[in-house]
Amino acid sequence: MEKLIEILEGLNPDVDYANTKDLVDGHYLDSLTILSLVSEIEDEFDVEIPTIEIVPNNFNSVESLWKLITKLQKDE
Amino acid sequence: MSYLSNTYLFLILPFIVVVYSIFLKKYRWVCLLVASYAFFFIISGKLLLCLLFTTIHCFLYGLVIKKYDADCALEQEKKDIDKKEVKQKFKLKKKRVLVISILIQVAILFAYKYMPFFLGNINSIFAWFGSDYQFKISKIIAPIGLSFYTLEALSYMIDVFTGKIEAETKVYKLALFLSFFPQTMEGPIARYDKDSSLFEGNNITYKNLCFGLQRMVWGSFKKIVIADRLNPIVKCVFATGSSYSGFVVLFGAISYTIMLYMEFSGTMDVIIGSAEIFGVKLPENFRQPFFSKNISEFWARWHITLGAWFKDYIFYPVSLAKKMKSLTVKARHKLGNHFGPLLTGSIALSAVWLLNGLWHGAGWNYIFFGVYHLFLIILGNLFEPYMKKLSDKFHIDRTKKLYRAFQFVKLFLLVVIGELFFRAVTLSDGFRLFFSIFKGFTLKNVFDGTLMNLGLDGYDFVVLGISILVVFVMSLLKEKDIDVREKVSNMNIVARWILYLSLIMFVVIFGAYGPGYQAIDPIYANY
Amino acid sequence: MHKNVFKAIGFLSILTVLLILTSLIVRPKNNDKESGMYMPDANGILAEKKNTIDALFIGDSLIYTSILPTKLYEDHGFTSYDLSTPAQRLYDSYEYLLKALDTQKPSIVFIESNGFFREFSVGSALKAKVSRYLPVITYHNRWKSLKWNDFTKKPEYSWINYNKGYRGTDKVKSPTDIKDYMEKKKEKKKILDIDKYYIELILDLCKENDIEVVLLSTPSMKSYNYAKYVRMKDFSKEHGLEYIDFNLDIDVKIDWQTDTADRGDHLNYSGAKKVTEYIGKVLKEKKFVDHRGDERYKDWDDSLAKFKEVFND
Repeated sequence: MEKLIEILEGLNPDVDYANTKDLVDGHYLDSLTILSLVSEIEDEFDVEIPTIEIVPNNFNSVESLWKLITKLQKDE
Repeated sequence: MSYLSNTYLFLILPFIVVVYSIFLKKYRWVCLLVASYAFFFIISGKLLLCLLFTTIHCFLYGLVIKKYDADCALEQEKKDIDKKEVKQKFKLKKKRVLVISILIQVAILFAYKYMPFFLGNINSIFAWFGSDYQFKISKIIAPIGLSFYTLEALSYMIDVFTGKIEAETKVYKLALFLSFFPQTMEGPIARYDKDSSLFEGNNITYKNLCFGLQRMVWGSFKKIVIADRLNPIVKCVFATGSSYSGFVVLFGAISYTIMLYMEFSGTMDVIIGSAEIFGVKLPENFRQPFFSKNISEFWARWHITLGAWFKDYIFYPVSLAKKMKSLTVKARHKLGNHFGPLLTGSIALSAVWLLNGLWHGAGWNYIFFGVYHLFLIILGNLFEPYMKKLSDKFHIDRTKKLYRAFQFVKLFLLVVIGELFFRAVTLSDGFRLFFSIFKGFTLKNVFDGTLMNLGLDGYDFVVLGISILVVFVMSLLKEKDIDVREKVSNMNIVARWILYLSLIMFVVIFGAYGPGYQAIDPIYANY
Repeated sequence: MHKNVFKAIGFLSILTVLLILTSLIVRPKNNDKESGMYMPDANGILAEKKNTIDALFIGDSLIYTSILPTKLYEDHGFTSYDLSTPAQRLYDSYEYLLKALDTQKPSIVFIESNGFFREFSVGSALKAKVSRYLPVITYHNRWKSLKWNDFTKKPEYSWINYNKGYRGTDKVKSPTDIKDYMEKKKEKKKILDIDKYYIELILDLCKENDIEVVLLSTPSMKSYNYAKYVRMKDFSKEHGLEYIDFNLDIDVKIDWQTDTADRGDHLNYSGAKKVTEYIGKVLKEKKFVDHRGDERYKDWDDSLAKFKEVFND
């Protein structure tokens, strides 16, 4: 989880990731940032995020992102 | 016909509401479906067959995918078999069906909407090479809402393919989803959901009725009082061969952007309000777009369902395709975390904006409109790190009010320029208008009566000023997460009724309708 | 549930009262242009003395460019009025007829048949109906020019239209090509159901008031064609109505080089005189009363004088 926050802060340090629950809907993460984020996560956690999982619900908060990653890791 | 015509508001909609409420809950979908098909037929006649074809196509497509999935599972049950290989085999089969289906739908769209433009351009190429051969171009009338329901159909097909949703086995549900009458002409572009309130046959409750009507009155206010009133200015300034000085052209372009927003978002309010009466929640299409920080956010908040469609079905699939992904990784190592993804992202964005421009219409000005936004977004992203450094250096707090105001003006002007090309009859006319902004620009025009020669008098400007201010304040409240509708419904009945009645009477008296006014045709219904 | 029904009724009642109140304020207080009257030329009939108009002509622009009521008075002493407005829809024709019958008792109504083929939406017909009772729908824009007496006065219609609804000109603009005009073709133009509905309404209204109806197709190269002509022939037979067609049946010697103001779409003054002359003969055969010299119709002499002054005739 800390690793994930580290990645996020590397992309945009101005956001309080621990408490923000609308990362996508609040336009903190735009689609280009999400591209970087996806490739970073895929590298770091050795998972593949399929396109259908790229929905605001999965990216709106660190928790939901983490949930997605652990789910994907299990599926592998 | 438009959703703001008397025929729809005072005859068709009430009639459907009454018939709907008489039907048994279980059969209300029949009522909605028949009403929707009749509505479509009134506008497009026999072209209803196109919609019918797309519906059946979606349905059969779903069944085929479902069959493949079942076969796949069955085969995987067998002993001594490589499950992955089976899965791969069926995935390939499914993909083939998907690609063919998408091609069919795109071909229909192309034939109806882009053929004349396409052939016209081929003809000019022929002529350029000195060939005498010319294709005959006949004007084709497309089925109403073709661009909207085709995107809905495509999203259904792709979602079924990826497994995001299950294939629908009840054809009536798909039929209703693709044809629901409030959405027919201008969207919003919805995604298929088998549990949608659309299929439930909800009772028409007092609350839904009030909320729906309230929203419709609000939408009429935006459309009839503001958009229709601005129409003469826009018509004057954008007329081919018009020659106005810089300030007036800018004024006309700003008027057009405001008109477009009021027209489209106002009609959306009427559409979503209509659906709300039946307890159907349609997706929102606007979220105070002018309060965005930059262009890319603007387009995520204006015509939301279209932008989301392009993001989900073009942007991510393109940028996250295997080859693109490895390109992203390589580029990131070489160019860093910011510029690396920007490279691949830009390729995907080009596809998105080219298609976005084309979706709005077959014309070079629409393509330019797309390319213009593509450039703004890419430039914005390129310079973002430098802007950040710059503002850090000069201690500019980007959250301060003054900076936000600057952002607001900057964004607004950028949008105005984009919409100028969007409205222009041809691309060259767009450029002519754009450059004439800088010719003879003088603020003197504000006071010397030039603005009074554009078809509006002082009274009109007062009404416009007040009305736009009202919309602005309402948007500001919404932006601050204050739910005005909920607040109003919690007021006591006297205050509430005074408010409602004033709004209705305001529209009746100050609406730009009747003798001497010409309502604008629904702008988005042509797309 | 019942509470909500009462609430809805209450709300709508207050709304209706407000609409009526604003209607009383914004409706024009006289029938002239300065008072804000919409279509003053046709609404000039409101100021005509009670029961003085014997014939009415209803329809679109073809009527107000083809029929000269002042000439009918000059030649025969017949009193008539052109109840015509640009691109008049049949629901408007019906409303104008209703309005005229409030104060007049004509014995004949001529209906221009071009309007039978005009498309319109149910919504716009509904709007016309509602605005008869709630003029705020039509006249809301008068908030810009409201004066004190708009709040205090009742309407009093006093503006006499010396043209009696005629709106033509004496300009000449000849057509470039008259080849296809009334060329024989197989198809018949369809009359839409919504048009049929309003035609029936108008015919019924005339029947109730003992008014003779005559169908009229005035000369127009642009508006008329063979398909419409054949349809009207059928229609008049079905309904047992007299049908006067100037495009094929009756030749009043229209010279398209000199008798049209806009390349064959509408007649000019000289063309209108030819059509009106024929109509005068028709009315004479029907034994209409000559009002010339009658004290009650004195203002017709004034109108005629004014009209002649303007048209230099």
